Amino acid sequence: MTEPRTDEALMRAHAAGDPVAFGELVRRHRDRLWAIALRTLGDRDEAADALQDALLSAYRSAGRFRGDAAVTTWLHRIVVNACLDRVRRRQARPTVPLPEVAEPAAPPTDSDTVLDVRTALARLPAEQRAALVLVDIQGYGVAEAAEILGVAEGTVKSRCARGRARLAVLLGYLRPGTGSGEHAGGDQAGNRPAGGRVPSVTTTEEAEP
Amino acid sequence: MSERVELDRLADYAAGLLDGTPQGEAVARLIATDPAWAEAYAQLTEADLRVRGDLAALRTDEPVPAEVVARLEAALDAAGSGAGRKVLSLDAARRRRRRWAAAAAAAAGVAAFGMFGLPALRGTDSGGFTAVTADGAGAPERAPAASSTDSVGAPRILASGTDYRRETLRMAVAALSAKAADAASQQGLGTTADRPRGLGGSQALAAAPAELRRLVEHRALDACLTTIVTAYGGRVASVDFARFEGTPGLVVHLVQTDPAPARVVVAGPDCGLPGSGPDVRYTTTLE
Repeated sequence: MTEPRTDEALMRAHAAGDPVAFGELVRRHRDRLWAIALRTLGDRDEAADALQDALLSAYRSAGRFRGDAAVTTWLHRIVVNACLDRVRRRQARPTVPLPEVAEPAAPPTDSDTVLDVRTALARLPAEQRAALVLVDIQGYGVAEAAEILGVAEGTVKSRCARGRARLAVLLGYLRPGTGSGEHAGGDQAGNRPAGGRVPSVTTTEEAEP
Repeated sequence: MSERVELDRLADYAAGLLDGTPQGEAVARLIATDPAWAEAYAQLTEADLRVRGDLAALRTDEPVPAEVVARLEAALDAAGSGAGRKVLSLDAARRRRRRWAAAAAAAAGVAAFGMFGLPALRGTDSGGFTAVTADGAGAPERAPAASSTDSVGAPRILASGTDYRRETLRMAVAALSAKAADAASQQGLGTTADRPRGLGGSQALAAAPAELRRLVEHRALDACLTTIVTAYGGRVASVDFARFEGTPGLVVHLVQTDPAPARVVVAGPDCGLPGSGPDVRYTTTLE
């Protein structure tokens, strides 16, 4: 009986020149990678572009894979990074509308603006969004998500907690008037949270608890 | 006086990330003494569960759409065709040159097959190839001619009708090739005892799956085998018009010219077509 090749064996075979090994690897994992790209970017075309970029990058850099992490973790990391790169590029071009985010016809006011979950997710800082996609949406453990994202577990927990708190604001789950609410703080991306009198949002994203 | 609620700090505290730290103690003090912090904490604790539920509902098990799969495969094929690859070292360059040399030699054999082989399977000249049936009996009309195939060996052409399985492919191909070689050897010694039982070359190929009939045409098979040898190196030891895991597949046994292990490649019906490359469905070494 011939056992199916492991991910690691496929990687070695690909690096050694086997032209079908990488394709087999992609077939095994592409659905999960697609789900992450789709939820992180919130746009199918963007997700397809990111997935393609990531897989081509993985294809070409397979020779540098050292086996420190599982192949699947390595692939996930490349896909997540490709998505984050796109999010950051998009955020660096504030005049380009975010996909699936309806641009307000008028500047935000103090009135309540309850967004749907997908739209609210797209408003989060990229790092918080990626952590929530992995942990709360796709169900990865914190440890695995930390390995994929290349950060400490505490950072993943913090990103998730802060991301959920921001979502709670954007989704209108925190009642207006909570906190002193002198202003609705903007996030690092320049997005303004919906709702006027809500707890202020600090921008200490990477502060380790 | 009420201190402004800091949502990030409160979220970290609610998640237990500040436990045992001075920051945690400070937040706990604010919640205990400041109504705004107390209300925000209560709301956030409740909202956190709702948000988790909302996010979990977004989970998707949707497979990659077919058009995206096609796009990914095309991109990876293009990368594999050399557009995205670099020769990393001189050793790699040398290996590549050896592979091309082997490919050229094998292609010479394939060309000879193209000129003589398939007509033989229809009952004319066999040239440098040997058609054998599934039980290993040879079916050439005459002994292999001295030709350019001598330097690379003569591929054996079969239409075994076998439906190979991933688990049994290695052993089956090795056994079949051994039988074919044995049959050819006996042919070479002038033995007639193993002439096919009523099967000529054309009948041998009649068992080929209909989807592979295009490859019976010598130019098509020539192109197919050339792409396979170019991709994997070595020389073609045998070709079986068969099935793999239930679908039509050209099972090609490659013998390497260096210490690399022999290999079997299962090619699909589009093997050798422009843009399809070897149309490989599966490959494994015969170690």
